[in-house]
Amino acid sequence: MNDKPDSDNSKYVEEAKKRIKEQLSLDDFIRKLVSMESETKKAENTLFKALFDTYFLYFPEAADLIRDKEAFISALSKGVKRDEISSYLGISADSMGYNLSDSDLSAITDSFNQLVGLSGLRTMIELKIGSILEENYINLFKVAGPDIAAKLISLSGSLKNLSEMPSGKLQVLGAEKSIFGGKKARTPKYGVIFFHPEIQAASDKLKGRIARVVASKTSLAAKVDFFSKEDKSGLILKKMRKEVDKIKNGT
Amino acid sequence: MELKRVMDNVCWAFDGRKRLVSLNLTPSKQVYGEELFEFQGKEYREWNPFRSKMSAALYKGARPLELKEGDTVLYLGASSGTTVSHVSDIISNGGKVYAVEISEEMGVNLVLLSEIRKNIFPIIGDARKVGELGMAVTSCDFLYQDIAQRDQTDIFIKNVSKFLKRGGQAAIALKTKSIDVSADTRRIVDREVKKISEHFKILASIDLYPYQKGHSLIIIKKG
Ligand SMILES: C[S@@+](CC[C@H](N)C(=O)[O-])C[C@H]1O[C@@H](n2cnc3c(N)ncnc32)[C@H](O)[C@@H]1O
Repeated sequence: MNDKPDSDNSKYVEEAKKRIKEQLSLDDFIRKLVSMESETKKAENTLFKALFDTYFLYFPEAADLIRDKEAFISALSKGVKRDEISSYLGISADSMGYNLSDSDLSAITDSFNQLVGLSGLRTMIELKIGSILEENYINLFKVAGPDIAAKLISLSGSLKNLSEMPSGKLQVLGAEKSIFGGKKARTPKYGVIFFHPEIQAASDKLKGRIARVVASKTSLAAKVDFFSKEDKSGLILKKMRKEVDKIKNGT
Repeated sequence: MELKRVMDNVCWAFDGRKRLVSLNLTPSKQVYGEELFEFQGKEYREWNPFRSKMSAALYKGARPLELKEGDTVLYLGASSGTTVSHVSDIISNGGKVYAVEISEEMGVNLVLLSEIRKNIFPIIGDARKVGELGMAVTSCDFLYQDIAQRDQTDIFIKNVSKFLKRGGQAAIALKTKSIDVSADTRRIVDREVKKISEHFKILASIDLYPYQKGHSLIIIKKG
């Protein structure tokens, strides 16, 4: 019944390998980097929370003043001991916390070094994403910014998909993900584009309309990057500026 | 442990609980972290209903599929090969499963699997254009589709019409969310089943809950 059945699969395996090799692209690498960045950030936050709690046990008076991750890192980088950190923060070294010996404190120092390492790694990945986008997708890089541009490529799957997407859909890309604290809006107005400086700077009342402008210009940037690769970002940004100002001035 | 046969190379294993297993074509090798069992000198792999819709359907009481040793199978939406690997166990060395997957990224694992399991014939391409993918066979004994696309039903009807032998069985895993996010699941399934029934005889329509949410498996026979 089956005509010319294949007797062994090696031809198919070779052909499939060839196709895979041809089809894997820069956008796949960007997607992986975006996911590495977000996983690294999660690891960083998880470690920070655990380390903070441990430090809080040892020196709650100091920890209370450096609850923010960046503040915590810059304070502890001066030294983790009570006398070191208290003089940095200008507080007393007396503490109601649990005393730790120097050898016990090494658990804190070691974790702290890992935290600093993760934080540096995340920055490195972000820089890498930025330089890849600047080099390859200059219009998206300039119009949406590297972070949003990379996430949009990642969420849509490829620059091609992004360039073919209606701007209304681009605007809500990433809204399904819990970027707004797990709450899922019934009709989301924005996805990752929400973090664009133009939208962040706008008053709540205008955010929606400005988001529409940013989405349409981002969509245009994706099209230019996909079809011509020419740098038209100056022009696109100028148009975006004009339309945003028009909304803001209520004209 | 006790085994009860379901179909070729597939059994229910009873050892305190009831689990579906398939005879491992490549002993000592796992595909997706599934458990391996030894029984009377043979090795079996657990066929996890939470990972495979075909398994979920059997857990939900589907009659054994007409899929057997030596069959030629067309599998659309192979992904990394989780279910394909069990189909590969079933059809064994005498059979062939042509596994079509559109995503090159998913295809990587599928290709790696095909290098170990010589009865898997991987094809990186679109299920909408199977005829153009350079497949040597023009007819199969069993067809399976799991592609989560809006037009999945049309793709299924087209491929069954073209490739499945007369009298053969086919199954489609319907993902209702891919067809219409808002509409009610039951209504979508009913509508798609009706569409399929205009072409083929429906043997079963099985809601895969709780193993696979928002999915149904429709089994048909080509007259
Ligand atoms: C839910 S997964 C399949 C899981 C797989 N059947 C299993 O049980 O192990 C759906 C797969 O279909 C693929 N797919 C989607 N559209 C396709 C198309 N038009 N042609 C071929 N494959 C497609 C996707 O890339 C994805 O890997």
